[in-house]
Amino acid sequence: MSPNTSTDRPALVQGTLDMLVLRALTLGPLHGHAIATHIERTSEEVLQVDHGSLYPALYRLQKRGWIRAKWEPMPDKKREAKYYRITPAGRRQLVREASKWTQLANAIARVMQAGLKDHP
Amino acid sequence: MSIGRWLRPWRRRRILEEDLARELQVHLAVAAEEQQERGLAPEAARHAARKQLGNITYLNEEMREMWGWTWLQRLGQDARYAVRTLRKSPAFTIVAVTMLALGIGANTAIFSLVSAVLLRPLPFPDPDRLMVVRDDASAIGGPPRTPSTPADYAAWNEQSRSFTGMAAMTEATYNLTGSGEPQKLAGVRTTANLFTVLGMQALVGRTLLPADDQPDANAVVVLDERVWRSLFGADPGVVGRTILLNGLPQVVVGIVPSEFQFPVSHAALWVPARFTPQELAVRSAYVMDVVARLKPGVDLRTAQAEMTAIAERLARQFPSNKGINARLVPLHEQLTGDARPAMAMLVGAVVLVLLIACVNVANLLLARAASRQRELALRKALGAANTRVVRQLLTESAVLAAAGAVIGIALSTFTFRYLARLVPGGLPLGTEPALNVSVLLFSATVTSLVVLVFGAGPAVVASRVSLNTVLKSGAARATGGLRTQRVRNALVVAEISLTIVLLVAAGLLLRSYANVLAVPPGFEPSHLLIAETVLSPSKYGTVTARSAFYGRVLERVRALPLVTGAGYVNYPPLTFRGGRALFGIEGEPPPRQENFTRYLALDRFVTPGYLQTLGVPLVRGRHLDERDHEGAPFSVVVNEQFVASHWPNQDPIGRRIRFGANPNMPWLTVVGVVANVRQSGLDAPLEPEVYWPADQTVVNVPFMWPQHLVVRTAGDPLALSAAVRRAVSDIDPNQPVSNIRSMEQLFAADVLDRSTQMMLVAVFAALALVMASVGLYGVLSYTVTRRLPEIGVRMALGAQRATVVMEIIRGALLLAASGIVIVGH
Repeated sequence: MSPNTSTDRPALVQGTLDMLVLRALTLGPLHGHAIATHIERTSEEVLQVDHGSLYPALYRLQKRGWIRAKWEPMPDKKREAKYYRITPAGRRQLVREASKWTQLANAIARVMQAGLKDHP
Repeated sequence: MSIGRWLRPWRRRRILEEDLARELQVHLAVAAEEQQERGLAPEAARHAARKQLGNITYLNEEMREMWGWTWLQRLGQDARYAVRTLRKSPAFTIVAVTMLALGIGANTAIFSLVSAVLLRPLPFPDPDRLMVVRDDASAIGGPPRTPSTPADYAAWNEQSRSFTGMAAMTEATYNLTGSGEPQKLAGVRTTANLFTVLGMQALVGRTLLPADDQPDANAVVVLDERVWRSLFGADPGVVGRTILLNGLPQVVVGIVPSEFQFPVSHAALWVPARFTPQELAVRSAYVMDVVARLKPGVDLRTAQAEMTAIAERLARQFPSNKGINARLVPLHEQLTGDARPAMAMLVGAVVLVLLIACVNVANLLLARAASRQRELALRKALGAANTRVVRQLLTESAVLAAAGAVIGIALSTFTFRYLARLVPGGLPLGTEPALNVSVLLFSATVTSLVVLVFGAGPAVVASRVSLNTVLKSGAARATGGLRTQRVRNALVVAEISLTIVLLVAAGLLLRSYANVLAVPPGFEPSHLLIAETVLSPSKYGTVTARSAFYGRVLERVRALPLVTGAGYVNYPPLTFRGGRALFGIEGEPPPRQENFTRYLALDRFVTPGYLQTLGVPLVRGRHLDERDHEGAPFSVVVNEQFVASHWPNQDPIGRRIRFGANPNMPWLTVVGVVANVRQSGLDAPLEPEVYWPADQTVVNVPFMWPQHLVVRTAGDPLALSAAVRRAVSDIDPNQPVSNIRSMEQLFAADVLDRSTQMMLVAVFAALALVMASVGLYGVLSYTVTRRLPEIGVRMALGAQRATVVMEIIRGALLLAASGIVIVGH
């Protein structure tokens, strides 16, 4: 059993999965499992991606034209996987999302800091 | 291409499904490898990968929802589920489907009739341009649409410019002899342009041509397809053959298809009218059916304006035309006008039946929903959305309604044959109810409405189950709150009200039917036999010839055993609703515009002994007898109504009246007064009547000739048929005897429309009553079941059986009483 199933790990904030997927894809084409593991590893196992919710998200992003999918051989050349790539529209979307996220994160951080100062 | 297009979404969906499955497979494989690298055994690694991916079924479901294909799949799923649940409660299903089938079936049947009679276009080209032209006496208090006088037709035809043609016809009866049994056929004497005006082609041969209408042309006849099939075996060789009609040879020139039934649905043959100038000069008999076709570009208003102008000109010229307008009536309206009120009544009745069925099924569904609350609550607890539950329940209703519709439509097809009888005077123009696209569309619409009406309420109520109360409490107590119970009570009350409306309607019809039957006809209707001997104009065209025939036949018939009287008349009571003429009164100015209808009276031409045979009581003076022969002073007998309208409180004997408004007509002396006779039907108002002696004619036209033999016997009238036939053929072997009926049969036929309509509404009312009873029973038994524990405790504590029973009965009576009170207000 994985040691990471404890409940005190933060769940993914609603609506951020799309942004994280887009971010992951800026590094190059990835298949579904790779996207999930990439997010988990780069967050140092803090963020846990529900693999089941990944595919609806991927479908949604495709529909909006932010990513493209194609069946391609995997590095071992034995199998094919469905690789997703980010589109230029996706990149623009990522910039918008990221700046919104930064604002939000900074705002939350400021609120939290203020609280600490008032009540030492 | 169209099929490919239809299939494209399905194909796309299959691709999406396969794609997803493959992608997930790869995902699982990669994940398992990764777990193995972390040191797990292959089996455990696969297991962990699966666990990490989560609920694949749920994922599939979510993806499908995104692809937008779930509703169809769910519909199928829901329908299958609905069929399964319905099969689990067969009693409920059978009752609900039966009620819906009856409701939808009754509506389908009545709509098919309405659509056949009122909505189907006439079988003629440009039927909207066809107009019936009638005399309109409404300005002077007379009938607004009566057949026209021959003279009016002649004037209209000559002076109007709005029509491509104007045809006139009168109905006549013909004896077909010389080919087997003599046959009596309903014929039409028509101007030759009838077929051109209507735009009707012959099936075989030709229709009538203008040349046929010339006085010296060959005698020709056009036959109806049905006659051609039944009497001539559909032999095309009949065209060109000579047949004997009323003893005169006529050449068959063509056959017209059977949907051409004009102007009456039983018309069997058409002969050129060859109206003589003498006939076309008649201004006092309203006997002509006139039909005309509007010229292209001329609308109804323009044509009506022209006809009104002509009528005004005629009114200035002839006193009898004062106040008489010429009215154009679209042919379709004229043909269906009589049927409309009856149709409206039937439609009202079936809609009520359907409403009651819906209310009832709604009630059953509510009860069912109450007992299914646990199931529904459980489904909601497992994550079913409110809308999903409503949809499931609505699908169930739709399945019920669809089953009801299929059975109902099938049932309705069996009624088509009998529906025609519901229309007063029969269906016009061969319109027969049939299952067609519009009828099916109607039924489908009704069914969908039905689903919404009876399904929506219960579905919404049921979906509002509260998870807590239901799942926590036991099943027995969790059966619908007070509110649901109130809704169900209200539905039963509504149902009872609707049923009472129908019952009252049936009761009213029954009463008016009984009233009609109770009307004294003015004569003694039992033990009377009526036989028709249609006289051929060539043989019996003169008064002398007819008089001799009547005398010999009557002498012979009166000598038959059991016969107590016999007489001849042109129309016995209940056989003809027309036959009125104007009569001027001595000492009064001729009929004028203000009082025109005052001078209208039914006129009947009779032989001595006719009124006695009928049993019409003589009130004053004497009956017509042998003294009133040809050449003797003109005598007439009038009825009490005639005396009441013209000579109230005066002695009418010796007073004189005159036929028509023509001052050259001879005076007729009133020699007797008889009781009123309902000539035009039991529900017709009393009218002045004049009886002429058959031997004294001032106008010699066939419809004034007595051609009906009326015989009174001490025994069964129909047992006389053969003897009467023999008596006539002994006098004239070529004279057909037809249409032998008893007066009682005529009575039954006279009230047939009324009695069938009454029967039908009564059947609908009975149906409603049964449904309402089922509804009331359902509500009560449900209430009782719910209260069983309570009742048990009360009984255990010593409550009397009778008290408990009374309480429940009181509840039922309260519901029924509420329904009655609502109707009463």
